[in-house]
Amino acid sequence: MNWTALATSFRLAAVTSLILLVVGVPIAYWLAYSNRRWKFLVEAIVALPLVLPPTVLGFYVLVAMGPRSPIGAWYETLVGRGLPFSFEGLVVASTLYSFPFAVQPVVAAFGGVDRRLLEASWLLGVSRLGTFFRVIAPQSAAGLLTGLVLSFAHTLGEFGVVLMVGGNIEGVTRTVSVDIYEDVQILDYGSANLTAGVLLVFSFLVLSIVYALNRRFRGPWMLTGPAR
Amino acid sequence: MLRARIEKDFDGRFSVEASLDLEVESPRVAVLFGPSGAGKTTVLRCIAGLERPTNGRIAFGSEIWCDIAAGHWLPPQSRRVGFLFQDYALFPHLSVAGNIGYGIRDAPGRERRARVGDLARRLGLESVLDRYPAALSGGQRQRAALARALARRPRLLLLDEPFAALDGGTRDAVRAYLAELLSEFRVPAILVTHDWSDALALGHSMVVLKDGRVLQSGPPPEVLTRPAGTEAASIAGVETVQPGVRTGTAGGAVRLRVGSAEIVAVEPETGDAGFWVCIRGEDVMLETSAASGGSARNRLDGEVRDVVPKGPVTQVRLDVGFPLTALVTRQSALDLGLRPGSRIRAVFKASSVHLIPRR
Repeated sequence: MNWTALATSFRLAAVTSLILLVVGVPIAYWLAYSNRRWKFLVEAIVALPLVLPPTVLGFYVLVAMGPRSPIGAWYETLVGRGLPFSFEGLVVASTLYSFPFAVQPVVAAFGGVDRRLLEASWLLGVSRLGTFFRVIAPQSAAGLLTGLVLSFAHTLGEFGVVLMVGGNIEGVTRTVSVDIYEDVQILDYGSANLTAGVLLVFSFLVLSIVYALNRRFRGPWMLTGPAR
Repeated sequence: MLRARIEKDFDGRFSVEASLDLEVESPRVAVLFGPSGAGKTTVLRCIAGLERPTNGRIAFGSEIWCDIAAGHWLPPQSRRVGFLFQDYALFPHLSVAGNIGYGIRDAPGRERRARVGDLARRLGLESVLDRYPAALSGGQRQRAALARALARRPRLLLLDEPFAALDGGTRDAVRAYLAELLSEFRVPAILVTHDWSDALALGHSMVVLKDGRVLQSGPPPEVLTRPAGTEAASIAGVETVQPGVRTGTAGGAVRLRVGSAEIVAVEPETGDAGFWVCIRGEDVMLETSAASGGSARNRLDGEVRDVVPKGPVTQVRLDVGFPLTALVTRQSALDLGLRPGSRIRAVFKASSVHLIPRR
């Protein structure tokens, strides 16, 4: 059981899901409420990591981060070292990889909010941003939580992208999934079994909590009495 | 004065092209009247700022809310209008108190609580302030939505079919209640409805819309009884609207003096003394004075004023102590030999007389 790898994984998952919350919510808002004709293109791009092999995504991210790409070169002059095979590089790759898991539940939740409630809020003098925090967010709590937890759990379990972009550096980029692979490679089935078991139980617990909260989060207003 | 010139095109499938001048000084109520799909709600939503016209201009007094040609647009947040949605659109995650106070969060805490408490008391919501909308009755929901709109002291209240979900008896009561509330809070209103009795009961002026166009506008009794064209007439569907005064009661029926005649109607649920007496043309039968008998309670002798053929029916205007309009088939008109000056008897049932309280 490699505790360092487990810690790396949790750190990566936490940072990634927080970034996704900040970046994903505005995009989800735009996807839920925009009327642009080319919205479908953005939707397709957001969903791309769902169908793309992690190696393909990892390959492109690696190339984009490399010192010969403008982005990679710019980052290197700014920070002093390259993105590939670093924890920061892993965060970038994970963020892209878990994007649909963070955004799609939130889009669905935003889209489910009755439009007239937003209009009622505007007519009561509340700005669009205020309306987001006072009407949309409280009514989408379940969706926001689902997005957060799913991106956390998905990042925890990723393998291909991590291996492509992060490599396998103990304490920096070696995550639990890579660690299990390592264990199997050196025929240490006992250690692999233990780590895999921990991950399995954890994932099951997380998903159970999400589904339980989703039931509750339909809101206290649903439990106060039947609609008449 | 609200002056609106609204053009709105819905992908060529439907378009609204309406010009209206509405007097919206308190306590006046302007009615947007028409069948469903006439564009009433679109006009209302453009006034509220929820819908952007394809072209046009909306001005409230000296303030311009929207001028598409000049690129001017005032968002709904800045128009300070109250809007009552058809299904009320209460925030389900907030209590009644939270809903009422929603639009006045900038006010200091004590003032806000005082205003919420005051509105709750005046609208009879004190006992349900802590409840969520899901646990309210239909009437309580409507009052909570009204309180929420009034809390911001709107300059204008927009009401989208507020009585659509109510049945006859409740409808009369809520109408009376709303009229009282509007004058108490001194807020002018624009009311959207497809029911002519709403227009008569609450409206000081009305605009008739059909297929996105304005057919006619004016005071409700006038517009309803003197429709400009057959289209407006078929929408309104009530040809006689006359002021009447209660003179007595007799066995579940009420006696009313209308002009110089006396008629009998079914006892209304409200105790008012003055009414608009409304009679539809097809409910009035005509017979020569010789005939008698039958169950109809109202039998009024009078004189034919004029006879106007309108397609398959003939409109007969009578003087029976008050102006009364009857619609009969062309054959009947011929058989009865109707012409201006003919003596005739008009017959209609007490239950065919609709009474709308007059304010």
